[in-house]
Amino acid sequence: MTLASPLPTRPAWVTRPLTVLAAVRRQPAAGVMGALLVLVTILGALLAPFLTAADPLALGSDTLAEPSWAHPFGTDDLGRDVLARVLYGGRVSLGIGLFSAAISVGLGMTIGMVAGFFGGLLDEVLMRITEAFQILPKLLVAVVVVSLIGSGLLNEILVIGLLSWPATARIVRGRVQVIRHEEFIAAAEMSGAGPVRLLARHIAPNVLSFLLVSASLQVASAIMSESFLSFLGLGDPEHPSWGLLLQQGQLFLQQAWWLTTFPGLALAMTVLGLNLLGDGLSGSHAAPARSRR
Amino acid sequence: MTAAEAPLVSVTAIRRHFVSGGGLLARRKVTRAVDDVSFGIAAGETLGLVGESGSGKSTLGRVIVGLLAATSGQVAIAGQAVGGARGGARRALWRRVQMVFQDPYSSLNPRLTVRDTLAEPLRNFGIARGADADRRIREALDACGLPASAMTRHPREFSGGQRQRIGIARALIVRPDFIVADEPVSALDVSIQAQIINLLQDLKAAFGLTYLFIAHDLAVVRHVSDRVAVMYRGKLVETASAEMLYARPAHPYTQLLLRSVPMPDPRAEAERRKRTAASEIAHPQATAGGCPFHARCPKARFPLCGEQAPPLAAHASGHRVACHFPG
Amino acid sequence: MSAPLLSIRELGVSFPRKEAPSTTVVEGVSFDIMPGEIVGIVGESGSGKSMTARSVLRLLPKSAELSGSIRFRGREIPEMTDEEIRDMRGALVSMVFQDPMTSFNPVLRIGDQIGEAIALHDRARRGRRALRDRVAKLLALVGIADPAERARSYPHEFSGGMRQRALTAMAVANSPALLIADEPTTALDVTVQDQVLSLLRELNENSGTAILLITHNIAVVASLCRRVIVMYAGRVIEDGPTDEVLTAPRHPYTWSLLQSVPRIDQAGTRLTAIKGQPPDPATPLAGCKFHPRCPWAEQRCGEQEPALSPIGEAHGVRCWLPMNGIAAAAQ
Repeated sequence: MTLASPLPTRPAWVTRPLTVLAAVRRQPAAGVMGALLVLVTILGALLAPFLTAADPLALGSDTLAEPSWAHPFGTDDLGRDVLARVLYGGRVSLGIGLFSAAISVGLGMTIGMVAGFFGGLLDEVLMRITEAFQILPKLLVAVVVVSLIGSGLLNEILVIGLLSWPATARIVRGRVQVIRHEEFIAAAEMSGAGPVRLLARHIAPNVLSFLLVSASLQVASAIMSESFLSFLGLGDPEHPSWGLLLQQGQLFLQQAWWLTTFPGLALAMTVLGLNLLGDGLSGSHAAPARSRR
Repeated sequence: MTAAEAPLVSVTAIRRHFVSGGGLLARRKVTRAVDDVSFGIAAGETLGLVGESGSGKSTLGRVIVGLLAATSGQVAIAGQAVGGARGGARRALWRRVQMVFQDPYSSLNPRLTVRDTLAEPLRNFGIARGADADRRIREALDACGLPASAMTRHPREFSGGQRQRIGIARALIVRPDFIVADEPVSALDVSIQAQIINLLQDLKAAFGLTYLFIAHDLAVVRHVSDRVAVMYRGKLVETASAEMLYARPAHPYTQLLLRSVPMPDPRAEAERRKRTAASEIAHPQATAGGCPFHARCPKARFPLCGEQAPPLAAHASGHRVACHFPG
Repeated sequence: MSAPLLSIRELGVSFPRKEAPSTTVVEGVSFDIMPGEIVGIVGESGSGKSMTARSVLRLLPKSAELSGSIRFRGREIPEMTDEEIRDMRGALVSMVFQDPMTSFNPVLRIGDQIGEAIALHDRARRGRRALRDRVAKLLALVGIADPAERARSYPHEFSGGMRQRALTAMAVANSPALLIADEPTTALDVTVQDQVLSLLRELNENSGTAILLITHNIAVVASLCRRVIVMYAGRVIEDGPTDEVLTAPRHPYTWSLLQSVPRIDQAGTRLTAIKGQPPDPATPLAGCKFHPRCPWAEQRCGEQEPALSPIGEAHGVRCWLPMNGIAAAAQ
């Protein structure tokens, strides 16, 4: 890593056309595609009241009806409109995904930055804790904890968020250890910046761009975790998520394919979109600082 | 530098060791990056510090500015101790001492505009804010040959040479007395190197600066330095005025270094090659102790050179040489 | 004189861009290399020197567009099949890069890597022992002491200078007719640089290997090359015998470059820096590419680009107002 590598002697204009071309070759279409998919699901969830007049919780007499003009996605065993349940379910799934990802990314970033920046004993302790969390069978623990403390949106968000930060912490720590040795950090120290200012003003912005990728994958993974919990019957029946729809629909797999197919598609589309977006971001974001390297 | 006048910078018996390994399986290994180095720099002087990669010259530079702690020894700048300075004392130190870094790409934070980068020391040291800070930033940029319009731009919009000017402006903006320049031109193109060297010399004259100029390029060091110190494996092996060192090197390592530099004039280069027999000497008697250079030294005599490290001692006409058989 | 080993005519390298004219990094480059000749290409970043060298072995980035002719022993390189190129690389033409660390696989022994390079092109199908002997001989040739033992080392156990020498050993393993050395000494210390230059010189004298040396260091050219090509902004701006070009340059850029280098044999006078910066290849520039930085530029220099035209024996210059060689030297 610290080999006496050649010095970067090329002015930016020599390298820029090449990196731009390289990024173009790396299929930006995937990233754009991902962003579109994510946008569609977010808009669907946000604009649910405008896209359907039906109430996702209102029972109807027309049970297990096939998709029709009145009910584009059909109805379930209690006569509820599946389109409405999928659209409103998006609010729950995406919301849980975003909030628990925010918790895990925030926690992971803080722990990773502190560990990577200060090093030494603090780093050792934090990393052992991180590893302890990382080797936990995440979903199993989530199932146990949620069954103990009870289901509910807040509980789900907290449990998923608090169980998924280790990956982010490790990525951030590694990144900070690299940035720590860039000359601009030494220069900032000599410009009088103390540890807090170094971390907040000089290191964090250079980590953030890296985190975008990780964050979009975290959202996807949190949505999946929530679906898993709901599928096991640990979801909040008051706020049906896609996972809960799947769980309820699986009883009627033989008679009513639409009960599982539409929430399943929504889930797959969102997770695929977030993954593609993550790929696109990792390909296009320019390296914050050139390392030799 | 005369004995009567105290040097601006005095470096006394500095050692800096790095410890690696020491885990369950790896053996603890101590690298003596800087090993008992002492010298002084008079106010207004440029001291050139040369050495090959791994000689410890960059480590020494970072110890002198207080970015790295010394394992032992003292550095004092204008009577103020550098080592152990914390918090407020470190800030006071860095208003007097600044550094110009080697790599114009990694030495500027890519996320900050030039104004942000230059405003950092003004803000952190409580020198100036707002319009006053902007005025000082414009002055520093102007002194370094950059237009005021550079302020709102990011480092990626500049070439290597312009970035290095920004780095110099950052060092200059606190009006330091002493600047350590660590390989400030080695990452730049030849035609840009000359611009930066000229700029550093102009700034020295304009602001009465004192420089420690660290470089591996012997021609550049000769060009900028009043006095030159040669480092080999963590130790100073020779110091002398630039003129004397290049005209009459006394240490066999300095002699080898100077012989090895090719010259741009083909005739001078042909002459040099005739004088030089580029052969590595391998002494079967070489040992772990003694003079750090003895294993490669054409003059080494055994057992003396393999057992005793020669001290840096006064030699003819202002040279100080660490060699049992100088000249 | 015999036929040229390598003959490059009107070489161009450009990178197409979306919705904009493509970026041209090499244009109209022509030169020959005779068997056993050492030619240096000197230039700064963005001069196109590395792209020129890389196009000979077809090592350009995939997005690059190549034009013009590159003939090696009369055969057109751009028209070769991938298989023919692979056969040629290493066996007839080989390359030494700037960074000797990344050129070796870190988990394989140095000797095995060199052995593989030999075996790849080995028509005689040597056995293991013969191969090992050959590797030891090569390492000894490049001045590595105790070669049989050192062949068993891993790349990280070698110092930078030893790696560069080992890399050179690998490059010359199949006695290529042409060795392309791209900044071979830039990452090395000056004492090691001197050894590597001597090594290249000996290789040329003993095995008749022609060398194309790419460097930004004028002194390295002065040390090794009989002929030097000066490149600027993708063009050859001067081409001639090293003795002439470096002592009595005819192009203002060559002259300015020489003036801007501090010299170890002279005490410090103020350096004559070249003002400004090299042009951005993405922005078209009319006329001579050097005219915005040239102290002697006239109106026509900014309007029309001069051709590389002969100015004395085997000496060419791309300038409307070539300098009087003698006056320049005295200046």
